[in-house]
Amino acid sequence: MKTLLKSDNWYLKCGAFIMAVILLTVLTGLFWTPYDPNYMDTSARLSSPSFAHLFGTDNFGRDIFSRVMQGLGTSFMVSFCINLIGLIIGTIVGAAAGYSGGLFDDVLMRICDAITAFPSVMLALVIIAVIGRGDMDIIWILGTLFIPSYARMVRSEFVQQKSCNYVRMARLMGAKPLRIIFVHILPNIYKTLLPAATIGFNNAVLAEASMSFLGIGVSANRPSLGRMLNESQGFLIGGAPWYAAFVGFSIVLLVMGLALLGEGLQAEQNRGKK
Amino acid sequence: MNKKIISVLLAALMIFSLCSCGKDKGSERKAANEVVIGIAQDLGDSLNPYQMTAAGTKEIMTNLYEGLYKVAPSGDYVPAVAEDCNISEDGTVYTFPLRQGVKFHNGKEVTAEDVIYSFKTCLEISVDSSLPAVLQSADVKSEGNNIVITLSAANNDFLAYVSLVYIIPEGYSAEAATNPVGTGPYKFVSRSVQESIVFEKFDEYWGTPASIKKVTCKIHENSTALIAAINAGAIDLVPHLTLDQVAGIGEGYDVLEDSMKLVQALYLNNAREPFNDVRVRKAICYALDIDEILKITAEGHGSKLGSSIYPAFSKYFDESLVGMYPHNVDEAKRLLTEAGYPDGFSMTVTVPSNYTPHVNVGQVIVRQLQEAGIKAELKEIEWNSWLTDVYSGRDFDSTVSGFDASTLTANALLARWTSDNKKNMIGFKSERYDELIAKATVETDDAIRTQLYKEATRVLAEEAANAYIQDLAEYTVINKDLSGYTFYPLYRIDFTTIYYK
Repeated sequence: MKTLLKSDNWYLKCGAFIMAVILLTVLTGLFWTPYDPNYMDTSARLSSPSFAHLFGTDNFGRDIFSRVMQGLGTSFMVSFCINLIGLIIGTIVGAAAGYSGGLFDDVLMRICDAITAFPSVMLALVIIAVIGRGDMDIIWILGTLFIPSYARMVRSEFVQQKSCNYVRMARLMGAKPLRIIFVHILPNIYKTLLPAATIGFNNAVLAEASMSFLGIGVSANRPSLGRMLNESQGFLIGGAPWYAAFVGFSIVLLVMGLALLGEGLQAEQNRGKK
Repeated sequence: MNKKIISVLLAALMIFSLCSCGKDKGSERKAANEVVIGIAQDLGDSLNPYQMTAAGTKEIMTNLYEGLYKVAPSGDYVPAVAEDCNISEDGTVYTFPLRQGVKFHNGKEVTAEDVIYSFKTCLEISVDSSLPAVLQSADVKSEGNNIVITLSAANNDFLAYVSLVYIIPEGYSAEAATNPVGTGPYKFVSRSVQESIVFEKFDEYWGTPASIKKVTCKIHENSTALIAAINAGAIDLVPHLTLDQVAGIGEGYDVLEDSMKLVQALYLNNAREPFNDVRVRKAICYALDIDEILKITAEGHGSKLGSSIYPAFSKYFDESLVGMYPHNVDEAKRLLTEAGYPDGFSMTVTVPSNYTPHVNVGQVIVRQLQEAGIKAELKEIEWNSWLTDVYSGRDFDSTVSGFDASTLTANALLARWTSDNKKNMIGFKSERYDELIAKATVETDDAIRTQLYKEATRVLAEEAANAYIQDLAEYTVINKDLSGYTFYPLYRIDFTTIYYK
């Protein structure tokens, strides 16, 4: 913490600050919100921002601030799970491909290429159209689509590390491949993985928001930023322009915080290399 | 220095010309006697009179096509291509003398052969769900200038079906999909998909001539763009707007309130547990607070319903059914306990995600059901899945949706709930109901028939077949310079009655 405050890495500082504020909001939102986010106050439809309703209310008379608090939580949770799936499976695939090489490597990487060849939102749409939609299906669908990018990155790191001396030594000493992969190589590449994960997190937030905006993301029982943005667009002219503004601003803040954090981590890592 | 002055002048000119753009277009249109109508859906389907599927296409193409009879704003059927109609005593033989001098838009005069051809083609290629079955049992012949139709059994709604058989020139069916020709007050000029359809006044129309010379139906699928276009003065008339959309519209327009003419309800799967228990269905009815639903979703606008008939259908609408299940959570809980669900049960409320009004109502309903101890959850699906899974597959607990009437007949709304009707998606079963509908369909005395239908709607209400909600309010925005817009009891935009003051 101290080193963070003293550091002149402003990306990292700003990013960490924004994310700390958002994380605090999300954690508070888990236990307490000013209003029940699903409570509909008939007498306060589309009221403008005030002390009673910090961000105003939506067309059902629900408090937008409370919904944004929980919406941020939904975005966070969904994006975290998406990345966890992408990261874990992507690492396994990438490690296997990179370490073994040869035909196995080729086949795995071409499968990844095939998945990335489709625009992810379109592919997700197709999958949802075929299997139907459950409350949280979006997590594993987007999670699967996030595997290739991680796999490719891990693979290239592995190809590089494989020819390093410490790996050769380990192999000479008779270490098993699994041990080399997990105990020797992985700890050495986590510094590359970390900034990539923040960027991935960022992409996941945007992907979830766009899916929810299109009405195929998280179900309506749970507040979601993308969905709120979609609902708010009908009131842009005349009705309640602040609705879209506050929700859009929250998404921008979240994405910006993550982007700065990612940038900062990258800079930190580059400094280490010098 | 000189350059600066010139550039400032140029900028001023540009701003000035931009300002004048929006306003002048309106008065230009007035001078040319033209009207632009904003349409919120693409009209990309076939323009063939028997193969139009979208309600949006049908409601404007009735300005171009006419049948032997057509529907009037009052809901009555009035003569169009035919001059009159004589019905035999037993109700099986209809004789239509053709009106003299009715011309198609291509200049040809309408003959008996054209009418026969139209009926034949309609039977062959119609995509309507009920029309072919009716025509199947009708034998259409020409006797001189008369069209004689013999039915195998009396059908009191027959004129309503006749009005759907639009008359086109003999042998013209294939071309009609892209270049429609009819006998109506307006003729087709051009269409560009996802952009517009243009109509022009038909000067040789047999009836009262229309006032507006040229009508352009401009397509704006995105509602925000539609509202912006209205505010820019680019559009004179837009039907089917919601209250929230109307709120964003500036001066220069009148707002007319109307209803959507559909039965919106929480449709309950009567064939599935626990909804097969009438006490559970009644409990759900008591749990819903319709006034609150209207207040939240439309500031209190909308007409409450008690059964599967909407108020615009005044002949069959029974007002006494509306308040049958007032909001009463205690009663709902009592009924649930009686039915063996003291702690409630879990259910899903399925809504088609593209219909915002249904989704909004669904969200309020879920909350109200939860207040009565029922663990309700909203499930959004897209329209095609709704059609296959809910409507055809009948795989749902409950769904918020709306049914409209294809023809102005009680059967169009009520016949679907008879036990073995294919369209009875809720699996409603009542012998008494089936009996009433069967009787009403063949009854020739209008008063008795109306009574039978009314009794049938009472059965639906008493059995709490569905939790009926409302006929949604909708709004038409019209240029203040225009007047004469007329509402119909079914989907229709009539260009002929509009005129510039």
